[in-house]
Amino acid sequence: MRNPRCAKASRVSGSFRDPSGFLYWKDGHLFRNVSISFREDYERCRDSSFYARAMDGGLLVPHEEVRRENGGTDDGVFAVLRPEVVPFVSYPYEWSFSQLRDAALLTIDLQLLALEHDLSLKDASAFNVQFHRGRPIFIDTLSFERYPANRPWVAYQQFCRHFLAPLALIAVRGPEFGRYSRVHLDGLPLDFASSMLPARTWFAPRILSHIHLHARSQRTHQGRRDSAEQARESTLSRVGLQGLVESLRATVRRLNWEPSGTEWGDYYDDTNYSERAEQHKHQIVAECLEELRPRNVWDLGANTGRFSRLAAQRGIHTVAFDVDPAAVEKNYREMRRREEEDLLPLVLDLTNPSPSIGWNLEERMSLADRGPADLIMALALVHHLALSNNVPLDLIARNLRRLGRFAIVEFVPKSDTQAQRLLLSRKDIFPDYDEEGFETALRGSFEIRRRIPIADSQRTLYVLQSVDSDPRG
Amino acid sequence: MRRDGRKVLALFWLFSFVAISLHPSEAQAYLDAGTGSLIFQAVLGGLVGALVIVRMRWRSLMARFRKNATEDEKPEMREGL
Repeated sequence: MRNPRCAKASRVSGSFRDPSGFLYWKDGHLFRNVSISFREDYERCRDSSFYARAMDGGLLVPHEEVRRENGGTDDGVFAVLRPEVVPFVSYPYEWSFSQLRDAALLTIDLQLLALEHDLSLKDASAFNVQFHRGRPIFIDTLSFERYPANRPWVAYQQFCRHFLAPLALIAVRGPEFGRYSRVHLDGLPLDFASSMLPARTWFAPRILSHIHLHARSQRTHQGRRDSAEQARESTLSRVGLQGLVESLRATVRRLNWEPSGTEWGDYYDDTNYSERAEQHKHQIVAECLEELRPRNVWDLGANTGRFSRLAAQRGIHTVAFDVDPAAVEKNYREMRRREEEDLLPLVLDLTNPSPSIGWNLEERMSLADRGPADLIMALALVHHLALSNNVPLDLIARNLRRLGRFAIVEFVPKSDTQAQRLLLSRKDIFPDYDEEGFETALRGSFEIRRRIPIADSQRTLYVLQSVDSDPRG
Repeated sequence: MRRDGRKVLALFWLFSFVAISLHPSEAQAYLDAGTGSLIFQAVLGGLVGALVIVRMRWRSLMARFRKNATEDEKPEMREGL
């Protein structure tokens, strides 16, 4: 897929459902149209100082107004906004438990703030939230409408599907339920969530209400004409709405998931690295970062982000990918605790990375579409792909080349105890898996800039430059 | 009688017209909110409202008991003194 930023003026492909306006790129800059039909809502958001408060509070992505019409316009556009650009777009199915939870709480807090200004969220999709400077931030500036007095919340269902259902399932059943939102792009259906939650959740009053009984109500009234009329006339007082939203907040806050005891959760406590080897590896990576000065870094198989931080602490925007939700969760919690601004931990399975999905297979971008990165770090990764997943070394090289312009790759030979552990339970069908085989596999994809054996270990670090990329110092 | 009837009818139509005009427009709410979700909120809202009233009544009841209790104590205290 062509990088949309290159086109002269092109709509962001995921931005089409809301008639109030849409996002588009023009000459490399990001803009958001505000339709004339949304004029009054937009003016209230702006003039009531709701936008100012939300932006100052770090809840809503900052924007500037670059054009405003006072009369009518031909093209139906009332205003044009220029929002701040988030350097890396991520999706709810790539988030760990706490990232989704923080996104949910952000949405609730914005709804409560909006109500103070006589406004209300008209949608509550998890895709409205991105992670920026180490914190969740709401990016859909046009999600706020004038509060329709005494009407039930139009976004209640969407909030329960996008946030509450997956959070409850992860908390109670395990992190695998985080993946379902890749299939259910509009959130988990409530009857599905209700059926997957254990019976004991029927005794938790809030989960009982917002998921189980809510699902029942949906099933009962679906497709019935008399129900449709009843719905049109149903009322919810403002106090009732406030209570509902605060109840959702309390429900989300009480959900918890502890990341431990999974396969890679305790990885670093269990490696075969001596302290000297560890330090040497740190030193080499730090030197590479100084030499290459990448604009951004993708750390593949980052675990809890120990090496990702070498880049992030130098002010380089770093995405720390790992297949293990527990490792990503630990990394994220640590990131929030330290208030780091240049790190973004995400869940990703490299053998099945995020694809392009949604409408026309363009609505949500694949991993590759969001790259390439300036620098890829693949430390203690290749042996997992080759020996556990049977991916040939040349295919690994080609894949890394597609994802990044430069790469730091750690080669772990069979003589290393970690590699031996991987081969324990299976037949060794890898005759070409050694340094020579690896260097041969790199041909056509990468040039080797440096080859550094790690002190006190069997491993080698390779600094690679992809073939055909700009030679930068 | 017929004239009164017509007046009532006219008032009814006027009222309906005004009521419908004043009904907030939901033109911008593009999302399908779900019939069951809207009705459920009305039910929940009613329950929450009822609970709030019950809680308020309970508190005022408890407050009255405590007030009675302290009034009973006072004469004893005076005797003690």
